[in-house]
Amino acid sequence: MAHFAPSGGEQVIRVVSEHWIKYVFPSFVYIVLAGVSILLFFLAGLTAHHSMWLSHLAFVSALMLFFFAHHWFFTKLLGESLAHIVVTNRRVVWIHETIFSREHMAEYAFDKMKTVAANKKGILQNVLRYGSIKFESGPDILFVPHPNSLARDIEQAMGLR
Amino acid sequence: MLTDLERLFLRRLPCVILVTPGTVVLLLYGAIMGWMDLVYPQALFSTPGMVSVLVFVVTLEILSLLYLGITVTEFLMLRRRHISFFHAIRKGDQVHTEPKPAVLLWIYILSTACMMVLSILLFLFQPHIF
Repeated sequence: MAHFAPSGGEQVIRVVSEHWIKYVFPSFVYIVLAGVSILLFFLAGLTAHHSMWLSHLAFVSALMLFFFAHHWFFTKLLGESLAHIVVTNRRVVWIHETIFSREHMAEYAFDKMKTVAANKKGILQNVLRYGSIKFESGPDILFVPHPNSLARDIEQAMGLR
Repeated sequence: MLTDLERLFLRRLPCVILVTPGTVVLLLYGAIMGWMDLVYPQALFSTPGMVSVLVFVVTLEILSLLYLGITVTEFLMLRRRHISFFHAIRKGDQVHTEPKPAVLLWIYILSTACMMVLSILLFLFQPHIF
C-alpha cells in the first residue's frame, strides 16, 4: 500500500464496492457442494445398518466435502468483500485482493490517462446495471455498479467535463 | 491502531472464548450422557472402522478450527491495511467502512461453530449404535 500513498491535496470523490453479481457463482457452487454432501450424509445414515464401511466412507466424504465447500465459500466471500474502487481528484485506485492468493492494486493516474469508457454488455449487465470501466492502458475494472455514473464522475475529476 | 471491527472482535473475544466452548462442552456432555443411556459407549471403539472415523472426524475439526483462525487473522490484517489506506487518503475524515464484511465474518465464525457441533452430534448419534 505504501506505493499508493496519497500525495498532498488529494481528495476522495467516490468509494465504490463491486457489484453483488460476483457473489452469485460462488454461492451457486456452495449450494451444489452442500447439497451433494447432505445427500452423502443421508447415504451414510441409510447404509449404516447394512454396510458399515460404505456408511463410514459416505460420512467421511460428506464431512470433507462440506468443510471444504464451507471454508472455500467464506474465504472467497471475505476476500471479494474487500474489493473497492476509489476515485480521487488525481487518480482511480482499484483494490482487488483475495485472501491467501492475490494482492492486486491497480492505479490509473489522471496525468497519464486522458479518456475513460464505460461498457455494459449483454442483457444481464443492462438489467442488473453493472459493467466495466476501461482506461487507455491497464486492466479493465470489472463488476462496476452503474458504470456510466462512475465514468461521468471520473471524467469530471479528469477535468473533461 | 485498532479498527472498529477489531475492537469489537477483541471486546467480544472473551465471551466467545468462554461461552462458545462452554456451550459446546455442555451440549456434548448432555448429548453423551443421553447417548450413554441409550447405547453402550464402547461402540465408538468397537471396530477399526469406527476408531478410524473417530480419529478422522477429530482431526478434521481441529484442521477446520485452525483454518478459521488463519483466515480471520488474514482478513483482519487486510482490512486494517485497507482502512489505514483510506485514513491516509482521506486525511482524518470519517472513514467510510462497509458493514458487510463484519457481518460476513461473524456469519463465518458462527456457521463454522454450528457445523462443527452438528457434525460431532451426527457422528455420536449414528443410527446403527442405537
